[in-house]
Amino acid sequence: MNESYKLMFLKSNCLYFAIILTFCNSLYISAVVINRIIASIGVGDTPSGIAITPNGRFAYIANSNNDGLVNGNTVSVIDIETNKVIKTISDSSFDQPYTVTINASGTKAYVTNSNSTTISIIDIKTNSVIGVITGFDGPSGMVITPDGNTAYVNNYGSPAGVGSANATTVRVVNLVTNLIIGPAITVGLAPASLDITPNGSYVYVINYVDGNVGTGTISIIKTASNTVVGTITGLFGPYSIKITSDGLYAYITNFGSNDFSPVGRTVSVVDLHENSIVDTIFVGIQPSGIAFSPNGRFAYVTNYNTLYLGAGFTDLTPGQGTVNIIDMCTNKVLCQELLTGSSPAVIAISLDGRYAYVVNYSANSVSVIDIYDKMWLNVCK
Amino acid sequence: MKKIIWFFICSYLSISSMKVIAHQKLADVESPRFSSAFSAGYVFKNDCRFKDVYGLGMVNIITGDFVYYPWDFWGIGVKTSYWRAKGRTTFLNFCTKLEEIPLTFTVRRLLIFKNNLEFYASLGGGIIWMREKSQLEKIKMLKGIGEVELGLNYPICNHLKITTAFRYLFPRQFLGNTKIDVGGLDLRAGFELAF
Repeated sequence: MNESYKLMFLKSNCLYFAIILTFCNSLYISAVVINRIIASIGVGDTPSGIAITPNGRFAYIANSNNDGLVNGNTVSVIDIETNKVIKTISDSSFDQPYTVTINASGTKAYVTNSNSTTISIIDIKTNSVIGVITGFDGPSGMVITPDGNTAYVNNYGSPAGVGSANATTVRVVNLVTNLIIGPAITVGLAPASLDITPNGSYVYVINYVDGNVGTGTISIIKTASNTVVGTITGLFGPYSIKITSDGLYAYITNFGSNDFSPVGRTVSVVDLHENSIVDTIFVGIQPSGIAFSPNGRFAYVTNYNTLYLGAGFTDLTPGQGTVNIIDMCTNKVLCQELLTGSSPAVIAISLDGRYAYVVNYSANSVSVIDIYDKMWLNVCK
Repeated sequence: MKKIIWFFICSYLSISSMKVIAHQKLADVESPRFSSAFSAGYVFKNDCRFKDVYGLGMVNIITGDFVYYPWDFWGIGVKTSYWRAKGRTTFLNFCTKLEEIPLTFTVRRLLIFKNNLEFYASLGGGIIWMREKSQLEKIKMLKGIGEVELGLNYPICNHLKITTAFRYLFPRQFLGNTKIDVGGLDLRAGFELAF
């Protein structure tokens, strides 16, 4: 931990946090850093989103083209059997593609164009864009209801609208007509991501707000009425949210400030019955993406660990990207820490639970990490 | 290399035993009607995936071997064991425990020599129940198994004998699409009561 960070905590009299961070550091001494990368797949510029098809065959990567390359707005399609890019999809509708969401039937992929007002629809059979949904403002996340008919999209804000990190809305989309339905749902400032409960009753939206300690919020949307029915406070620059398959808890990564000071190092666990934060887990620097093992036992958190040193975020300085593993039974971080590429933004786990696909924002790559833990008799399952 | 060493050790023991037996004369005694033996030892496993997690093999906590001799020196028996091993998963290093209970039915040929040394050979088949448990998951399964056994008994009083046995269990079994070797070499010693 650097001195300025220590001072920040001491100044704010957060002795409790300081003690925990010290304990965390002592834990880090005993961390075992392991390199289990079995493949590194080059993709497009500054990849930021990943989704795996329901049949487990393909991964779709949104390349956000933060460097503004000509023809840099693309989606890469990876064959998971061969770990090779089999197609790079380009389309004029793409504008800083940020996330990919695939429907349950595996027929369509929805790409949020974070620098514009649209979502592009990719036909997975032909890997080509077949439609565009309009009416958003810097869409940066999408979830689909279990019946597959409706989607919720968070507007982070974009230059085409109110400006990045200035929006406060979630839009509801009819996926049959591909049209926005109903009025905008007002949530907190700068909704960064969202997830839906397994029964489809509630959508939890994490709001970045200003990225300071404790200012981030969660807006709870009841899908039956499309209204906000509650707000949870106390997050710290939230980046990703993932709800457990039993619908009891949500895990939220606290990245910290987009200005990279202060830096987040925690994952908040929210009890979805009580709608309150019940645990705070200390992980690496700038936790960003999160994914669960298929059996719901482990959470894998990517630690972005990257700083912008220059003015205007021009001097990107990535440290060593890592992945922490959280035992979800105890909410403890295991001592094994996995190496990955630089600025690991998001992560997805293969359907069989054997591999983690980590999207490395600065490295323009996807690291395939062997996460399979072998007993004797589970080896062939 | 280990396999070669074990091959030579087993070959040496087998040849030595055969030499001893070859010089013995059969005793003119009645065949026992019933014998029950209890023994313990170690089971050396063959499967390389097993060794990744548990090392060399499993402890044979106890084996019960019950034989009924309906014909002179020919018996039919039932044998069961409890084996246990502890290991670590290969990535997260979680403690993992493996328990196995083989249950086999055997046919046995017994030879009793004049110096009271008894030698037997048996052949059998049955099932093996396996349970592996760790923080990752709990797996149970049942597989078929076969066995060949050679044993030596040495009487220490009228009905009580010291018994030693070499048992090889086979074969490989399919687990999903992969074959694993559920058997191994069981070396054990104990006591036998015969009437």
